[in-house]
Amino acid sequence: MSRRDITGEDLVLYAMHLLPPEEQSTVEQLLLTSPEGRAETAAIRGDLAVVSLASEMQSPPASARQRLLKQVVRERKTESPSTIPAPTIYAPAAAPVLEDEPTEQLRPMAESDPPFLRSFQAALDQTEDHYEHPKSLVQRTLPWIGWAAAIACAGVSAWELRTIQSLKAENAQHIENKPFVDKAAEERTERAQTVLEALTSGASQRIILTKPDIKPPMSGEVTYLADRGALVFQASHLEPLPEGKTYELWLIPSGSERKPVAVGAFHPDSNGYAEIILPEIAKGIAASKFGVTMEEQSGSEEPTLPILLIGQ
Amino acid sequence: MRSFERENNAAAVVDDISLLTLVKDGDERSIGQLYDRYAKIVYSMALHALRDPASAEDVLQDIFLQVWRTPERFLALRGSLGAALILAARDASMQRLKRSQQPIIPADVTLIARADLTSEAQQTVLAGKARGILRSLPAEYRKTLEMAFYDGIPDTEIAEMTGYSAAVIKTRLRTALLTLRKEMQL
Repeated sequence: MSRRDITGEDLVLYAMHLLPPEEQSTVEQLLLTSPEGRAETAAIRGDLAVVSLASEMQSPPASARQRLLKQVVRERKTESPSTIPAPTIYAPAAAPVLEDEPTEQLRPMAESDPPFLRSFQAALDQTEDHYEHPKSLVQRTLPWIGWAAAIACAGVSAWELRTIQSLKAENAQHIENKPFVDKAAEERTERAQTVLEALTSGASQRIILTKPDIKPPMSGEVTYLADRGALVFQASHLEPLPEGKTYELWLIPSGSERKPVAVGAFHPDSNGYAEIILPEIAKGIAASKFGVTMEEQSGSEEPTLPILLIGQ
Repeated sequence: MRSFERENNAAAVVDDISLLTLVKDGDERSIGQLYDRYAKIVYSMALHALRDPASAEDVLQDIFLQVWRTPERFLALRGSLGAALILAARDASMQRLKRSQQPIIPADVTLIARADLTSEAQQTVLAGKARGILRSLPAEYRKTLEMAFYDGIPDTEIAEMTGYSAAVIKTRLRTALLTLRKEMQL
């Protein structure tokens, strides 16, 4: 089977895992680059779920719920997720067609990379730094154990024993606090993941905004995931702003009578570059267009003409 | 990406995602709620494929323990969580039947328009409609679909067993599913 030979019938067999391994692999490769193929495969999976519903419905025994919850309690999430054993038979890492686009090899950040990518990498680096902290706690604790042994061997006084007990109590307190998670680091990670998701999701809208009569032309690019209200905007070659003015990005919702939504104000840097990352936008607003206007620094409730950049 | 049932029920979107997020945070009641919502359709799928209540219960346990252990995998899915769990149960059953070595957790599952699996009442309505449509299919189409879906038998083997060509079997499978999709949308 070559990629050109793949039909709707093959996608049905693929969705049911009934193709021979080599053909299954061929279809997977096709789907990596075919949004239509992925959409049809998702629809076939939905059809198959409906087929299952048509079978006679039976409730599991009540004991099954208790069994599950008992196991859940046994596996209570008091430890780091990385220490929980991964399920063996359902290896999700090998799940087919999970990615919208082929994965690219990551490379170190370079000076030539856009500021947004460098700040994203910096956020990740900070997060990694944070997770090294528990190791240093153990390293701090170990020398005290050595001291405690030496003192015990020498026949220490009651005062010294009380000191050791006090230190042990302090160490125990530190160990109890080990699962402590830096909330700020978590938030940075979550924010970085949301940005990545918005940039890589197949559902994101990508709109190029241009103004062709200026050289080099002002341009902007919006990546927008309506369901999450996640938006990343990058603009380059922006003209310097007059005193007291700001650029403003507007989302023009789908539908005839809906008001433009102010996404955020921004100022270009000395190179004419500006970005807006994850502004506060309500989830679920379908966009028909995006536009950039120049507004008063104090802000505006409606876009002020002319629209400097527009894209749909 | 996290848009379960988004095409059908905005409130349910919040519910499934919220529950999975709470599960991710270690909330044990939320896994119970997801179980109450989807255990019946997951168990029924496994029971129909395996025809053995004990094995079906094991599949049910495996599926929901996987939700508990790796909720982030399910948060990353696109489409219907309920449908994804059904397919996960189907694949787990196929593995037990040694019919498949494939991993489960489909990447995305698009349910037909207006379909909503987040309540038992909705599940019952959909089941009744789907049952009627499948019954209206020619018997050989229905049988072919059952052999492939519930027994995990490849088209070539069904062809050998029934005397039809593999091409005919593939066409029947596709036609049966397309008919189901079309009729369900009416």
